[in-house]
Amino acid sequence: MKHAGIYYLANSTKYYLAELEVKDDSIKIFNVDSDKLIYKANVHELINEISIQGNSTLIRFPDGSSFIPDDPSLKWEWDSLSSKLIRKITNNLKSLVLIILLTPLFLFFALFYGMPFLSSEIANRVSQDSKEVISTNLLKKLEDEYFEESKIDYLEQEKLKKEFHKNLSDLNINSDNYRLMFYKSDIFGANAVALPDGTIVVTDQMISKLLNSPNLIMAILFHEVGHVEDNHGLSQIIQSLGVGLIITLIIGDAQGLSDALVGSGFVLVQQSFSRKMEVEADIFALESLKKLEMPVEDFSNALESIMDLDEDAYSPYKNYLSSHPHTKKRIELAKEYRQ
Amino acid sequence: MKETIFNGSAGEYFKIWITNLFLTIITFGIYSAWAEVINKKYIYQNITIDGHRFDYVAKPIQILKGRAIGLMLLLLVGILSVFNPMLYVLSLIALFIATPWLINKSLSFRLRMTTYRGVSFDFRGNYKETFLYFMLLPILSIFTLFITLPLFQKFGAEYSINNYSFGQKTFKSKLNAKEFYKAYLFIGIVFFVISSLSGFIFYLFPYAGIVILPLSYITLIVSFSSIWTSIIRNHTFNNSELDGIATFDSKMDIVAYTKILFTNVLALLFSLGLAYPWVAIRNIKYLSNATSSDFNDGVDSVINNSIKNDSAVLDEVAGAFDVQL
Repeated sequence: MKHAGIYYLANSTKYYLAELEVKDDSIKIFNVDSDKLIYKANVHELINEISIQGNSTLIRFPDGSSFIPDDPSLKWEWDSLSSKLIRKITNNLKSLVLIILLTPLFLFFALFYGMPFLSSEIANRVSQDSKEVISTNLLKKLEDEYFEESKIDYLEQEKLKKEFHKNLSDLNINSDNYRLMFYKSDIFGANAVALPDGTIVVTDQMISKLLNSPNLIMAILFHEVGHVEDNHGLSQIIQSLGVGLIITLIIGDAQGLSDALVGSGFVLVQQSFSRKMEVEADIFALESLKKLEMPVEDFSNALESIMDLDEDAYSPYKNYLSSHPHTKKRIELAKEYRQ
Repeated sequence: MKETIFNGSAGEYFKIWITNLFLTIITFGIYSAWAEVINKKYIYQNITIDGHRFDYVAKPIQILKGRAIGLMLLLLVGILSVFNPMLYVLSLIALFIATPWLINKSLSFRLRMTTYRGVSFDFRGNYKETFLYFMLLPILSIFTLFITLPLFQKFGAEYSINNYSFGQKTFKSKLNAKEFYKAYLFIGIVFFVISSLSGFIFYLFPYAGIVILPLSYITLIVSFSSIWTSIIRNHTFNNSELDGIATFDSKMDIVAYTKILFTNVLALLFSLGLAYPWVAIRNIKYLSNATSSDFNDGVDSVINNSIKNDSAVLDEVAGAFDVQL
């Protein structure tokens, strides 16, 4: 049987309307106008081509010339195994439905479970030396851009440091890596920041809000220790690299428009990790208070004093964009924990 | 005049795309190289002019190697940014110096992998001019408060088109800076109208902000992209030719194209990306329908004169840095 199509010469726009004949292992091409044989080849010499579902499958010959049949439904026996497999999958309704259901599911697990797991595993394997290098760089950046020298009284600082380290050793945590530092920062406000190597920065604004109750300061510090012990900071850096990679893989060659979409999807995923970590650190703080036989209300009281609750109540949509869980929810969690 | 015909269907492309996506995920991204080739082949092979189809001829394995190397380089730069700021800055400088070369390589790769009637396209830009038109002049235009930017972009567009080729034939283009200024003027007017309008609505109904702000952001981006693409594409197609054998015509309409892009973005958003195949097919269908070409017998005797496939991996590494013009 002959198949009508176009025969293209190698490396040239020249072509013939042609017919292709397959007999056993030999392929012959005839010129339609003159019925003369123009090319002959063996099936085993063909150069592998990827065939595409729904399109005519091109046959590439060893000299570089090619034949495209008119009939798109025509498929060849010598097609590569992978082409055949994919044709099978896409043509089978059941497998297609399965793929349509599984793909979003896999993607969801990859983004929300696979990546967090993988990045915390990697983060846990980073050495203390490396963490120190990263943290020194980070701290320098923070000092340059956001931090000013602390105005907190030196003796007060020393007192807090001493108590912090004593609590750490009571909690059986190696306190050598921990270092408490004080800075004034208008941008950070009343806040505390944990760096990967165990450096914990507390702002003057926070100290002055909680000055009369050092136990509340300790509760906040335990939260930060939770971040350090579980390597949250590093995990987050690794996650952001991984998630960016996954998202570009999916919509990689979409037009420039999708950049905005990719960006917003990225933020949503990142912030959800971040909220999860905050909850973990909250639980760590509550457990530490319990172990030290300090009142667990200290933590919710500390949150209440440093967070502006009214501001938090502003919009329900903000939930998905926020890096921290809702403060009221955090306080509720802390209260539940007491029981 | 020969019409450009696009025969792809959203349903068919969806099947291919979702299967590719699935295989990419379960192979941890390794299959993405095959996915890219298959997706592109589907699109290219469905574009026909005068009864002949285009094709995308890259080999997945080349793309995979290129991506692997590119990824490792990017990872290295990423690690340096955290651990060694000094080396990081040096690597950024190296990247800056390499950028014109990366642009040339990745553009050339993309075009060489595109064929029509068995003959490849190509880009033969050189380091010096790519640096001049795509990096130096745009930076220098800062000192003219960007007033000369459209003019420089005209130079850049002319430079790239004049270095495009199809087989042994090169493209030629003579452009007018007026059109580039016109595009910016339109963009400026649209920006003013939309932002003041949405600002006004936001002022009246602050609680509508959650809808108004994202909506006006999308409208702005979509209309900028539509204005620029329509005006510049029409102008460049209508004023370019393939060395005595072909001329081109593009009739894009800003309003019609804006509508398509706008609904495309909404479809992507509300389908969480699942509408991507439909969006892509719609976009290409519109662009194809708006494009026609005219050629004489000379088109039958174009021959491939660049048979150099050895640097493909290097080109794809360049592609991995995703330098787009």
